[in-house]
Amino acid sequence: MFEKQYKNEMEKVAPSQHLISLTKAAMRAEMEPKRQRSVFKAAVSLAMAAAICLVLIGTMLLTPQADNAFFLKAYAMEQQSDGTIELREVDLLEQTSHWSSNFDGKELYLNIDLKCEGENIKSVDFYTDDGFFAKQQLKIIDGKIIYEAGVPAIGWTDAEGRSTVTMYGRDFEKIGSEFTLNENDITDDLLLFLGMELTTEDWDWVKHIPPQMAIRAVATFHDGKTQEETLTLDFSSGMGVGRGPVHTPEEIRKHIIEITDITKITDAFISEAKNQGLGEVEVNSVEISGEPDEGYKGIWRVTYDVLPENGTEWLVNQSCDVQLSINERDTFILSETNGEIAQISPSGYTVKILEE
Amino acid sequence: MGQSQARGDWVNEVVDKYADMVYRIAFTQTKNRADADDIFQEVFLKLCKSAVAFETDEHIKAWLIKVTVNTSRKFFASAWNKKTVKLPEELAHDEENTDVDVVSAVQSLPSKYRIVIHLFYFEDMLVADIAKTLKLKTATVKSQLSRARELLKNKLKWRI
Repeated sequence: MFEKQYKNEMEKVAPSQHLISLTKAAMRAEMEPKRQRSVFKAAVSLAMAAAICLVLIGTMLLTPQADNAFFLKAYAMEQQSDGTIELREVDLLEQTSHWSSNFDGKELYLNIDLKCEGENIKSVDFYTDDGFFAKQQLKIIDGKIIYEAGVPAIGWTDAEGRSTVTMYGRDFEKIGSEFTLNENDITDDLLLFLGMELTTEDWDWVKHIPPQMAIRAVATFHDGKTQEETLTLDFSSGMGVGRGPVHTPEEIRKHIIEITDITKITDAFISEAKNQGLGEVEVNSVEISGEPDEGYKGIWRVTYDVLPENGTEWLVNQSCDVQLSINERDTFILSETNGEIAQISPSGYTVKILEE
Repeated sequence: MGQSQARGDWVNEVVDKYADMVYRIAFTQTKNRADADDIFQEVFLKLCKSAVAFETDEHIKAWLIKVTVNTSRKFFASAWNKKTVKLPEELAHDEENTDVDVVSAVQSLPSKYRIVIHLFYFEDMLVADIAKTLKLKTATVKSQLSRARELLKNKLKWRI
């Protein structure tokens, strides 16, 4: 009886034809081709890895020659006081940039975006003595990046709403300390990284990065002539805003965090936790099964992504291991932890499980 | 067929097919048409922007359900005062009146119960499919359905 009556009543609830027409028109407008490098799915991270955005567009700035032109510029993503990110051209010696990065306790990968721009360029050879080059290949179908379930991604959205992926997953293909880009090699599905070995358990791993890393590039033109330039990545002032624990709880609360999955992975209860910088973050969208009884205790693996507004970084399909607690207001609170049961992440949190 | 026409055809097809479903879910979550209108449009625009390669109609349907629910929640994020959804307030109706509008009764439930009731009783989805779509455990959905039925039984004085 309930089902029948509920169906009868809900059948009367429908969108107006006016709303449908407006929506269709808006969709068609949205789908008109735009000048975008990639389609994005934006999210911002709860994980406190140094997932700060950098897109460094480097081309070679050389003394222009008669028929050959080859330009090097650095475009830094600079975070403004209101949290938005602007792209501005900077002198190579004063980079104030954000870097998309992945650190697993042993190796660090930094997104770099090397472009060959200019006239008559046949190829550019890149060399580094400060690490190695690596790449990722995105899967693009019909101009859209395909995000596989469970694969984390990092990207950024500029103030105009244009977004790009700067890291997809945690698998990187090492290329070596030198590689060549031919004029047709730069495609939208190619992401380039500068990698280095960095073995540390220090939560503030950023301070172990060399103050500067150099990439040398030699351009070869179609007429056979060559030119050389050095691009210096300057980390002496840190890796941009949010070095170490990237966001304050207040900054996190600005973002809408969407929990896509939460699964208990152990009943072990952390009675001692050392949070280095984040503190507790309330996430309104978390809903735990059942009543808030003792079953909430334990370590939960939270998978999440967040849609920020334009001018911010984003992450998708990220996961972190958390301990839940509830306060007198029946609000579930996430305290990010790294337990012995999980891989130590570069978020900087260490926890010792004392009870089973 | 030009790309523009192909896009237009796709828009017509997907909206015509799923408009009612998306709207009704938005309505169950927001409890008013004005907010449901906003969420309806936002969900379909998100569909345009989505990078997901949909393989089947079921895939699209599940995606739309999930996104509509999430969009509805975010709609109230700024207004939500960081408190859990409490047990529903007493209905304004006379509780002795067994002709209480069932939609109103469902809408008086916490949002997490409303969506599982709607998907189970209106969309005729199986518990396992509801769990998969909303990314919940099957036991969770069963628990929520059971709890929702108890609450509705008290309000409607019916056997559900």
